[in-house]
Amino acid sequence: MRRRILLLVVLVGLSATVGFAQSNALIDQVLEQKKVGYSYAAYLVLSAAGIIKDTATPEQAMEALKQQDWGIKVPEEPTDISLGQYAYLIMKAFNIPGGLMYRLMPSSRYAAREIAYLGFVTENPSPYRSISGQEAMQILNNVLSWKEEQQ
Amino acid sequence: MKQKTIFLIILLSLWGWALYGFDFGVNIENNSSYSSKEGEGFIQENTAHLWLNLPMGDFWVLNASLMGSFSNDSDKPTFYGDIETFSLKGTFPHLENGANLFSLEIGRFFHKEFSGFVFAHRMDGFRMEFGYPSSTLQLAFGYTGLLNKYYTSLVMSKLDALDDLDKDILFAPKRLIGTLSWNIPELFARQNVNFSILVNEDLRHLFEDVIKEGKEVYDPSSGGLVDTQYFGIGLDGPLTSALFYNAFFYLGTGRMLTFVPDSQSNTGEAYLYKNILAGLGGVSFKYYLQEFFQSVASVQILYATGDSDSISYIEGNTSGGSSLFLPISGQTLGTAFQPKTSNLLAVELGYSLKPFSSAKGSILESLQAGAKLTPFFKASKGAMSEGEVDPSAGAGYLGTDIAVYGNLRPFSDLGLGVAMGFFLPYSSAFLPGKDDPIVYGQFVFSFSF
Amino acid sequence: MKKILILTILFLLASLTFAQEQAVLREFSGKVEVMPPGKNWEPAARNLVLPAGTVISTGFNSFATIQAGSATIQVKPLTRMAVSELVKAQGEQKTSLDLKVGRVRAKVEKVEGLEHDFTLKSPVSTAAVRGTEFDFSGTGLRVWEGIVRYANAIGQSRTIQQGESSSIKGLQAPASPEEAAVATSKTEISTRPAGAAEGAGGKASLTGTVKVTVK
Repeated sequence: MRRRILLLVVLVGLSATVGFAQSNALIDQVLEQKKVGYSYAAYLVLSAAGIIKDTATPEQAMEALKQQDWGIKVPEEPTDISLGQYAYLIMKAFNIPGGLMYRLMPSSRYAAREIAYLGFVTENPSPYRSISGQEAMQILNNVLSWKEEQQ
Repeated sequence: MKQKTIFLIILLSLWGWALYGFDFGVNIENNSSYSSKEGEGFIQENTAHLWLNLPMGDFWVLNASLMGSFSNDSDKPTFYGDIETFSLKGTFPHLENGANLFSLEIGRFFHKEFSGFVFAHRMDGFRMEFGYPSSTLQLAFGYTGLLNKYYTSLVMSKLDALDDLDKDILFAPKRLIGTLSWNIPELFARQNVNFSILVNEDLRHLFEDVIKEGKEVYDPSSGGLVDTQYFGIGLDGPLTSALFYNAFFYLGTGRMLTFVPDSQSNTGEAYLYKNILAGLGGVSFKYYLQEFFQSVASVQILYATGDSDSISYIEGNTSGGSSLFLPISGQTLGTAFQPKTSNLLAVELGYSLKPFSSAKGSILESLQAGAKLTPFFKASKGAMSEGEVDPSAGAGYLGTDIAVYGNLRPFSDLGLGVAMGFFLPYSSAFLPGKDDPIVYGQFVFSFSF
Repeated sequence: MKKILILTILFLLASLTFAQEQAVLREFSGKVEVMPPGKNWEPAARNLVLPAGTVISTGFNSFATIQAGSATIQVKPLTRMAVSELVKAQGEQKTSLDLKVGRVRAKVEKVEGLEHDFTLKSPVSTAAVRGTEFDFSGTGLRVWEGIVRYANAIGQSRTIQQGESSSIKGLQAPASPEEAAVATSKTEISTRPAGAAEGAGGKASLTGTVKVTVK
């Protein structure tokens, strides 16, 4: 009995370690991407917003995205995410109300405008361009910092 | 077939460039104002800007903007438009030892010198900037003769003023502008230093007849050239973490056509070019009290020399050289009363705050309310830009401009502004019958999509 | 025997004059991991020694506090920072940290008889301090106490003092403290995006680091 309990404790401990290593390995992959993938971007945003656990995988993040009623057509094939699409995920995940046009016609274009206005993105604010993993992380950091100041 | 091929190549190129992230949009602005000043009244101007930003590779970006306006101003056509900007800008960093940055912009762009009181205007030309760790050097040349005159404010000579009133003339005065500026941030004790040289060459004589030097008969319907040069120095920086100052001085030189006594003339008088030697100086202090509703208290003093024998602002010199400072096109002080920075002493006291700045997320969070009090004085006897001011009145008090304003940005794509101004003139400084107080109101609306 | 004794004395003397300073992970909360040089990611532990070359990573809603000599660095959530250099010589300490992404708050205490050359680098900027406390996110800086020298990738720098803030966009020079004050106190009515007016765009905003130290 004692051995079984001990074995259980060791197994639980190991899985926690694996979970830890998984999220950092994912962050490593994100930081290396010159054009961040849609699923990785979804993982970042949904984890940061607490919608999924940070031990989830990008594939699980895409599944969770499909469950949200955000009006997003979730891509089936692996693809890059544009700044506008990333901005839209951020606006929805963090409940940022947005400007007049975003409220009237929620779209990636006006989501990108809003995050540029709020100062989350300091480079080219074009909603159609790709973003690197580093930039995606920095944008998310700026969002989290802004959220802290709002509270 | 050739045309289709070229079209296809352009389309594919644009598609390729789109990968770098082009952006475009429309901005609509409405400016409605009322002034009780004679000849003004209610004016409404609606302007739409269509802009495009197109990165081309790692170093170049194309900026283009078209604008079109609809106005009820009787001095302007009902509809008018222009290419607002159209420039190709390249930025080339060198990050090795002796790191520096070179940028080149070619086309139509907005350019201004460091003070904003002498030249702040669009022009067609090129601009080069050399950035070094300790300073930045900028060289720019531009031509103003292709700009739509209804979007410009470049009236310096009599012929410029006549063209401005002529509805058959579409383009702005033909001037060649050259600027060389050197900015040294934190040269000593966190103080920033600016040096600037501007050259303004009137090119009108290349395109039409102007009064030539030596003409012995006075012609009130024509004029000559006005060429000016400016040599400026500026100093600005923090005095404390919340108190900032800005001081500058410009020496203005040049030449202006003057109808003066001439011993060599058959009539005893003739048109002669006389030198301009004038000055413009200013100092401002701003105190930022961010803990108290993001408030700002400011005082700004501006002094521009006048010419005691000038009878009008434009080519009004009547003897000897001219000491009337002539800005090319720059900002002005005041709300209801907005004289150009010429033969002027103005002291502007201002205060603004954001009363709802702590209401995070509220629509009123961005509301900025403020007030300005600006007493104006004549620097010397002689003419000013405002024709109602008596040129024969000596240096002294002109009147006080009082204004209150509110700016609100309820959404990122919607901006609203309202201002009310009153000018209370000092009767003795104004021509008889031109000393009525001025009431002014303005509403501005800006929307983007 | 004599040789051994002499060698031992020489070694001890060398240790006194030039020693590798240590960074220690004092506290943390949430998901914090470290990657020592040449190793894989491993969970953080209190009082864990972080040699030069260690990368520390904080997850969502996670914090860590690192002590490096007279400097205390609070690593904020979603941050990845490398300990680049940690050297202590006679009366001098040199600490260099590489902020790959995220935000930190650093406090460097003034210690009598010790000159601490503390530098934080990001892909686009550098902040160098002595005896100060500030928030640094790579593109933004806010100084709570003391003086920070803030530079962009081509070495154009500004001194930012207590109560002031600054930011860097691409290859532009660091914003002056007044520009930062104006940005918060003035409401801009015009809704034209800044990129449209100023021509931002393209990949000309390349990365680079420049190191400046305030003495």
